[in-house]
Amino acid sequence: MTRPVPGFSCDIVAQRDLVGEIRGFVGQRPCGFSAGILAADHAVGGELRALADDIDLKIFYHAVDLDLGGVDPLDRSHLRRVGAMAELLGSAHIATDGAMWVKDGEYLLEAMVPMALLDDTALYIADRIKLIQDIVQLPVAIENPPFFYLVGGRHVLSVMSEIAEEADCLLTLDSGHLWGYAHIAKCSLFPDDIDIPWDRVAEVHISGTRVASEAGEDSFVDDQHSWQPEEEVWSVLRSFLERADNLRFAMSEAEGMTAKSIGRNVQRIESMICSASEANEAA
Amino acid sequence: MSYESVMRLQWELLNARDPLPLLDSAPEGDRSVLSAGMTYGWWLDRLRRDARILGVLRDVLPASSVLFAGSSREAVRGFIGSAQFAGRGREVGSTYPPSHATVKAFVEYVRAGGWRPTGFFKECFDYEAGMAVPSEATYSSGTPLGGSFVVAPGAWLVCSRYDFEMYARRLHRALSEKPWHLAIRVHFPKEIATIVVSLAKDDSVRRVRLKGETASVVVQALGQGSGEPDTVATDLADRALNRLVDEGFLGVATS
Repeated sequence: MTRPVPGFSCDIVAQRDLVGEIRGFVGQRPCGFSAGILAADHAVGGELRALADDIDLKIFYHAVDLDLGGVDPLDRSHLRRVGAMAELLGSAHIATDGAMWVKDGEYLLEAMVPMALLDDTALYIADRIKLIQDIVQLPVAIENPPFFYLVGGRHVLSVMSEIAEEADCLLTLDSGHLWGYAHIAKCSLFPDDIDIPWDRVAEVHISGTRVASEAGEDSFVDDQHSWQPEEEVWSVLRSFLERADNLRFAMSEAEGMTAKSIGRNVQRIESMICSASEANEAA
Repeated sequence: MSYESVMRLQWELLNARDPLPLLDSAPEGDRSVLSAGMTYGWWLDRLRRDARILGVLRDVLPASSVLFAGSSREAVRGFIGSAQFAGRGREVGSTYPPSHATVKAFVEYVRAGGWRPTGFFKECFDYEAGMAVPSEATYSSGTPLGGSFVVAPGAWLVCSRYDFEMYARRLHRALSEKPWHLAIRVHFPKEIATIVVSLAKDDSVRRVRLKGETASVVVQALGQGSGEPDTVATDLADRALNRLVDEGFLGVATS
């Protein structure tokens, strides 16, 4: 079982000054950074890489313009830019949410549309991931997106597992997103009938998802990275860490948090990684 | 029903001024799967999408308004439990809003003064891509920007959770009939003022990050604006522009 690198994300423009301080919370031990960045933003990418080299920070690329689940044809020249950004950052895979990230050439960013969970979703997205991987020559790690509402009745992990097997790609699991999804879908987190390929899970995330529900009415799920995750979401992360045996990166999605809060989260993740490793070794 | 057709229709519905007739005209398979998804979360997510919100903005705001785009969603939840929201006719087990409460009705409700910008409407803008909308051009302390500021009519002050240039372009396009020259984002990491300035001319946007003394000058200008808003805002724009030119980030002034 590999031991993943603990780490974090933060706003690479507004919070860049905090990166070194946050990294200091884990001392000289390995630490990672999730870079949510546009492929064309070479200047920011270059600055980030220089900073990472300077403070010994491993970068994991989160491509916010990689359109896994959209309906625009994939732009090969753009995919080559994505590959170049991955190379610039030194990322061994490319993570992004299973969602429509681009529409009519426009990057949707926070207005991205999560994938519909239908019977043919897996084949549709897997075909796009195959093309992406052919061009960028790196594996894609598709992430379960945040859902505020659901279109389609399939379990998100079932769809993602099929995508991973069909496209021969990696997975990223976000504990907050999954926890929120389970609330609005009124289903279990890990149904027994889903054979999740845990060996393909490359990254796990924790984010500040919250649920508001009133008796007898629908749950409302919201997700914001500046929120501290609920304890239940930490428990989901622990489940990930105990099951994913090829994990590369475990991180706190923390745009908008203070350096101190992010640092503590990274420390907690590091501690959970140690506990999970020891438990697995003992078993 | 296919994934592609459902995603296309979903996108159209999310951005339609009145989605229900569009849904009614969709093929049965697509309609049923999307109808099932159109719960309260769907409507709320749709309402706060920037395209939708900016479309509303064009109709309801004076050109001198300040746009503030932040990242706080906290008050959305608070609003859900408020009397304003409860009065919208939501029923247990139903989707929200009910069929008669279209977005058009929502807009009319806002226009009629049913919701003030400090309520849900503001939070919508705060939420996603953000755009928020105080009707006055002055903030008091306690805002995410940390102090009061004033900008001139026609100058749009933008604070976005992400400072991607794409957002600036979207704003620019959406507000193409409005004067739009300057977007400024203020942060205080480690209590040190940091400002991101985006400038737009035609379809190009330039972005620069100001720190230290330069940022302090701008912040000071923002904080001193209550007396002579037009002068301060103009001065602010000039300082930022000149600084950008001095630093080689900008070759052509945009205002």
